[in-house]
Amino acid sequence: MILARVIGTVVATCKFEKIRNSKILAIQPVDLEGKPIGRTQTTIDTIGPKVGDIVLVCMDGDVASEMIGIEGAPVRSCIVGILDYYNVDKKSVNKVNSDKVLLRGER
Amino acid sequence: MNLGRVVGTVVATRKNEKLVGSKLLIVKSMDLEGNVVDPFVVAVDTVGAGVGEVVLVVTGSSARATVDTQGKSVDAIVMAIVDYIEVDRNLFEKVKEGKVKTV
Repeated sequence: MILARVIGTVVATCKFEKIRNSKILAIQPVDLEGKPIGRTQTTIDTIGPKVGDIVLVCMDGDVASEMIGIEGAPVRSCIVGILDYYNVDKKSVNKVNSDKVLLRGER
Repeated sequence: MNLGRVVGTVVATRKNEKLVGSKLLIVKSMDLEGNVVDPFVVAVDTVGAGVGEVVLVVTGSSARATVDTQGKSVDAIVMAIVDYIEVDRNLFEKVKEGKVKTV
């Protein structure tokens, strides 16, 4: 799984039958400091994060199909969790909890 | 399978119900000299690894091949704790804090 920040929603009226009821979000993968890395992506969501939340993204097609309950759906990644916090090397616990990398509502 | 070093943990309250009870670890990649390099992955722990330990991470659909993760929403698991690595007749052995050290 990777960490990513939700940056927006994607609306597609005309889409493949099998993913008709799925919510699609735009995400930006982030590193352990919360800084963006790599290109933005879109992903399927069944958990319900807000824009600005840091989420856990599973990059596996089978998992994504299973999440939306449709076998063989044309999806390759999905959101599997919303982060509360993360600890890196013990010492940065407080920092992560208190400011920058945190998490909710930050945009 | 990739060598990695566990550098931290992730806590997520709202998550897919199939992930409930799974320990999530942040694992940074490691080169064969024991240096931690940049790419990281969040992996489900299946062997009881802790922060600082050198581990093997398997990614992709094979991550769901273990008893603990069958049918779960995971694409990366920690499935072994490394004792030592031998490369070009150099032995890197695990020490207490999980640091890799030339013997």
